[in-house]
Amino acid sequence: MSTDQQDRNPRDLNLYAPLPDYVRHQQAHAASLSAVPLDPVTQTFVPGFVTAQVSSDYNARQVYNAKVKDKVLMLDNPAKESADKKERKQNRRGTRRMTAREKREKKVYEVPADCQDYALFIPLHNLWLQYVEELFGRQGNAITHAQKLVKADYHGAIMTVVRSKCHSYIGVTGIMVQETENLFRIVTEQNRIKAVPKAASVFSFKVRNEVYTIYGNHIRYRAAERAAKKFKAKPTIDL
Amino acid sequence: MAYNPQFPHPKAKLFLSHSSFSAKNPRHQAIISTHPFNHEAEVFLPNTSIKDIEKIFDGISGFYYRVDLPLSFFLSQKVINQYVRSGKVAMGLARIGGGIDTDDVVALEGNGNLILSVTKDTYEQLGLPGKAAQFGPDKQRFVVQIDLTAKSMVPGKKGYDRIKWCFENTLNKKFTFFIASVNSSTGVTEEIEFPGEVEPSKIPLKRTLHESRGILIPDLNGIKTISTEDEWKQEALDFYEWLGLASLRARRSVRFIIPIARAQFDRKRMHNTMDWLHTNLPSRTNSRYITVYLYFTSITAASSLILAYHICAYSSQNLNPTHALWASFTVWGFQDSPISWRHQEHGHLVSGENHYTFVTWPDETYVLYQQLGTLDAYS
Repeated sequence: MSTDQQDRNPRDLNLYAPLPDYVRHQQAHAASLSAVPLDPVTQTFVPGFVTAQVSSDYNARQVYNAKVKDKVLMLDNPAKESADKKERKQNRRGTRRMTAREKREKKVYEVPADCQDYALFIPLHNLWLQYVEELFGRQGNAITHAQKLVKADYHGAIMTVVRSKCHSYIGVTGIMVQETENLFRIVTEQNRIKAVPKAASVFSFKVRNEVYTIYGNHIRYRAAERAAKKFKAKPTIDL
Repeated sequence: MAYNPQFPHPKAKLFLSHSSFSAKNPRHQAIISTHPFNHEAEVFLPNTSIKDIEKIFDGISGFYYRVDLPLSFFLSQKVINQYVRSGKVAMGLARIGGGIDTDDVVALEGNGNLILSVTKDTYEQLGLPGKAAQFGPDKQRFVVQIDLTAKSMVPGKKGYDRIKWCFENTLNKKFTFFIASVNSSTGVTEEIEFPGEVEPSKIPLKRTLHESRGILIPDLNGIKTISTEDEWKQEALDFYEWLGLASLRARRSVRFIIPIARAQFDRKRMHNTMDWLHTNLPSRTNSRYITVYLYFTSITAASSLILAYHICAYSSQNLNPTHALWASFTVWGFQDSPISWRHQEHGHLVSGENHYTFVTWPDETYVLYQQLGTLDAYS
């Protein structure tokens, strides 16, 4: 069997082939490269010390060769990195991430005050309308459209809160600018951002002369998650 | 043989109290005036005749409107200033569909309080702050109270604008109101101006006088001497039932329902379901007395009722001081009313009764029966 294999191109990778020559030559060199830097004091002291300490039940020389010689032993726990050293290391990396507290303080995800303008988001609404046109296509009825809308993105839709357990949310109308897991941020015509929780609310928007209703309780997922989500039937549409 | 239900059933309540009109703190004024929504009243005067009474009761007249109104009508400044804020007390009650236990009920009190007792569905779409009702399944009914006489009920204020928006957008259906405007000082009903597109139907106070002969009037001296013993209570309850029967007899003119006293128990007449009832009240054997029942159906303001009451209470003694026995005055409240007495919440289980009866004697003492259904916060 080996002759068969040798008849083939010797350069082929053969699992059972012997190591090439240059590797064998380098073996010794590699061993010296990976050698642990040894202190001369250690070199003289350790063998004698270990063999003297081993109890008489065991062959001292064998124990030394098997367990200690050419081995790196941890005699103590390595020093723990201090917290600021860790931070310095992280900062050196260049990709410094913000904590949730920092994000909240710096209001990273909130719409800045000078951008809370209804007129500013009207182009977004138009963009959304085009998106929905593409989504629906030319054919289809309300049912198929609704199925497509379940996984669609609502950023830019003009939404109205139709029902809510809390009376103050009822009637809030505007362009939806942000969707989080539990909220819709809507900019109203009075140029205010209203954060309406999805739970215990029912939203509706109008597309192509059809009014679609979304039950907030069933849609409490992040927008990206919702696209891939398989929706199960909930027991009730009660708030 | 027991054919009454054996399981615990909802109990209606009857409160008995007694006082006098000339007492220091007259309770009767409070009882009558804090019970705003009434639709029927009856006066029972034994041993008088129609001829004597007619002239007095001619003075009692009034009317109310039955009209389909949207709730935004009550927010128009004209209505608020003309009817609600001024001395003219406007009262109305409206319901859609089944009544206070199943559907929405709206009531406007004389003091300008607009009360909306709504179902959960309506409340979740309405948009106005309210509290969960005490009665009914948990959080299935909500009560919204709006004070129309508040200083903030002016266009331009946030609260007013929000209410207006809600009445024009979320709850813009029309309620069939029974509404009347009464001058609080004179007690006279006055006209209401409605916007053009609304078609009100003006319904006058319907007054009926009945005269009945041959009724055995029970002797109420036992009840007049008030005591807290069970016997007294039983007599009072018996009399209450007798009064109800007598009133039914008058209205239906059914001859065979005759209040029977212990002394005379006629087995031959027991062919009616009501006949098994007999009262243990002693009776006057002289049956020549005639009694007068007057009942009027209207939505009446409390102030006009007080007027009617005084008329009836003193009429009997003034006319026949020697023969004056007693007089009784019963007022029925709406079964669908959201409040009973003193703004306390009222619901409807098997019935939504909230009526009262005054039984008075010529010396101005009275016994008051207040009947309340199961679901009532006043009791």
